[in-house]
Amino acid sequence: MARWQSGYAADCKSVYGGSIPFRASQRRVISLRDPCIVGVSDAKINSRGCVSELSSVLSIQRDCATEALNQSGLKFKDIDGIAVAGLWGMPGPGVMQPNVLTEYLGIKYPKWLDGTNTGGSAFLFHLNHSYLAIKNGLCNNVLILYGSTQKSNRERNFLNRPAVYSSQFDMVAGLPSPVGAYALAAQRHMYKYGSSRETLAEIAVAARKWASLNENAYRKENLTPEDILNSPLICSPLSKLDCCLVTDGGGAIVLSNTDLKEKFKLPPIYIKGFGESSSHSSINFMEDMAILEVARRSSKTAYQMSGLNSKNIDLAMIYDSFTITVLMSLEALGFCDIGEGKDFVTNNNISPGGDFPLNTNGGGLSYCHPGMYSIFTLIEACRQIWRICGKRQIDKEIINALCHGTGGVLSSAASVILSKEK
Amino acid sequence: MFNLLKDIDSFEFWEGAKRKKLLIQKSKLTKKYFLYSRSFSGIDADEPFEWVEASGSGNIYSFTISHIPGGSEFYVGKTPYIIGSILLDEGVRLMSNIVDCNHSKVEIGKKVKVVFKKLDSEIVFPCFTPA
Repeated sequence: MARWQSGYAADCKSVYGGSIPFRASQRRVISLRDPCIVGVSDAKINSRGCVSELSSVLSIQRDCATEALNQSGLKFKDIDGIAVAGLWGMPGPGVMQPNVLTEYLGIKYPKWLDGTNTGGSAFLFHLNHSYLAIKNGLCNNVLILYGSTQKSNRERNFLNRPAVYSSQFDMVAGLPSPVGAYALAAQRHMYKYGSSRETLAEIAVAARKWASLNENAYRKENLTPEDILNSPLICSPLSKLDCCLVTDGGGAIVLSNTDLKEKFKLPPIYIKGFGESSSHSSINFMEDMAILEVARRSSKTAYQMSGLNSKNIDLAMIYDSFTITVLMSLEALGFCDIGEGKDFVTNNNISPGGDFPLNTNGGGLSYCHPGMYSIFTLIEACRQIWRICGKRQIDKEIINALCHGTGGVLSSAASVILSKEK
Repeated sequence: MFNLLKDIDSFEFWEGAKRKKLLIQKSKLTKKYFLYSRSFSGIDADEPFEWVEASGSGNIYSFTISHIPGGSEFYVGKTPYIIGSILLDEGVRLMSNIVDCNHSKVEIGKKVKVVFKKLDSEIVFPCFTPA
């Protein structure tokens, strides 16, 4: 056997019956090109939190992809990689979302697919994986896609979920998921570090103030800490206004690489670092319910890869499934010490005009939350870097933005550092 | 009413509860305890284990008073009720309910003991009440 036939090349030979020749020089592509984001889009939602009537999860993704590609300067025929996650899919044998979208969008034989589903954090995992695929020459241009009609279709339901795996005990105990799980973490955090419902109210009020500057936000009306403290408890200590919205929605991200930079309409946004982790499925198996260890790990990896630290971050986009998620994430990502989040979020520090720009689109708490939110952290970070955010545009230059997503019930985490600099 | 799918890792637990026994798992190698998942126990996935009866004593690791029914139709009309993560004296955490108590007196760290509640014809659930 010739030297080039060993290892990977030999595997390909056996799979393809020897019809595709591989040479040693083709076995590994050492690429100098840099993966980058070149277009983004989010779906328009109406005053009822829905996309237009008759829209499907597929049409939402097509429309978002079209808009994001128009922004980028690339076309559908340039796309050779797809990453997707969602709450939809083919009933029966499995969800198989990458197959459904390849067919629907007419993407001809994509070279790379990713259907990683770690909960709402999934799209940040997709970005990390897309980076590796493009950097290593597996594909050139990737669409990351998301669509949801959960509000129109009234898909949210706390009851009659199958009691399986480690969560079988949670379901029998009557734990509403996910809110009950986050409530257990919040209760433990308050006990251990002295945070309070007032702390959490600061986070919800700041999100609403940002949303009031975002014309595509679902909830824009004024909100006071008293409104939150007086709103009905869902699972103590969390009230209704500590919870994310339930809306439709969708989004698209176009990733390309610097070999194609002549085509781009906007300056490419680079990916300086990323990291990911996971720890549990049921909240009861979270090692310390008051410390978001997965976020500590994922951000540490991202900071190390980028050579940056939390002080170099000009904008933080943190998945706010619940107010407590933000508090625990801020601590775990190193913006303050563990247990110090309660002081960090006060004095309008995270509100418009404050010192720490956070969730400038209004977040899942007030902008939109179609079920899996993390794609919107990327969309907003890019728009802030491109300075196309209108009324909510941050005054100072945004060089580095940290996007962070939590999935499941504080289960999985992915961190991404985007930058206008290489 | 409960769409409970018992499996090879939980069957003994549910069967034990019917006999008013709180059963947990114990590694035959390290003698450490766990239930269902080996998460943060330091026990390898391939370590052999046996089922043993727990003392039934523990304390409240965290809790929430739920004002909406969750998990099963069983909880419709039963709000508010308390879900607690109970840290057993053996070091195992169990998701359960805190029952037969004044809701305003429930707090993290409080000592509790097991009390078996028959939820339907199929399920007896090890719940906890202040010790």
